Amino acid sequence: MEIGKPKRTYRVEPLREPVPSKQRPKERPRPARKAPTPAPAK
Amino acid sequence: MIASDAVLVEAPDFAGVIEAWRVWRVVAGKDGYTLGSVIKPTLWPPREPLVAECLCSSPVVTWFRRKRSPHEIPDERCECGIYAASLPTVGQYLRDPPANLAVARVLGQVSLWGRVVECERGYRASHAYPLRLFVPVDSSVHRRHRWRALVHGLDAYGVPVEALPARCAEAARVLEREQLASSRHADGL
Repeated sequence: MEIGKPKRTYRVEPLREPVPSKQRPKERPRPARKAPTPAPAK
Repeated sequence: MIASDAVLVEAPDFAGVIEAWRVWRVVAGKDGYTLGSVIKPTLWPPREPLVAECLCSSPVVTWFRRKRSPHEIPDERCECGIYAASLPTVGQYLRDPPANLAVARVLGQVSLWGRVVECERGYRASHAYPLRLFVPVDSSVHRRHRWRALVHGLDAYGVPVEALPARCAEAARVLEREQLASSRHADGL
């Protein structure tokens, strides 16, 4: 890549981790479906 | 404390990361898609920082150079380091068809940190990781690797991946316009 001549060099310290952690975020468990309420006896 | 006990700590000149743009080729493997440098054979591992090595000459010359005068990476006198630049500068690399067994090309923002050499139109850094990826509509050169599959597959990097409804030839211009509009909006113009 053509980016031209160097101007200056500096040291850059990240304030927070720039790389996402290796652990993928866990998917939220789907809420259990409620059992259908039985129809009232006639 | 006597002088010999002192630990030299190099204070940073800049706190945070430098954000710039670059183009990647996309390589398909059995574990999914991997980003690769456009010019060098370097692959960017997902969820690990890419650490620069000096690849500027043949292994023999590099070995002799290291023996005689090792240099920090990147060094102003060398051309080594992880390259990134502004959108107009990187846009031209998206127009060329991807090489080195690549199945697609994408562009995005990259975080740079560590030792950074600022150049006239960009940067060379010792450490880098993608910050946000954009997949243009015609980024794939193979029918097997469709637009949506690339977007989904690059999710392995754990950063936002966006399907960009623009062709490679105009992707940089479209993103530049979007950036300008959002900065105007932020300035309240």
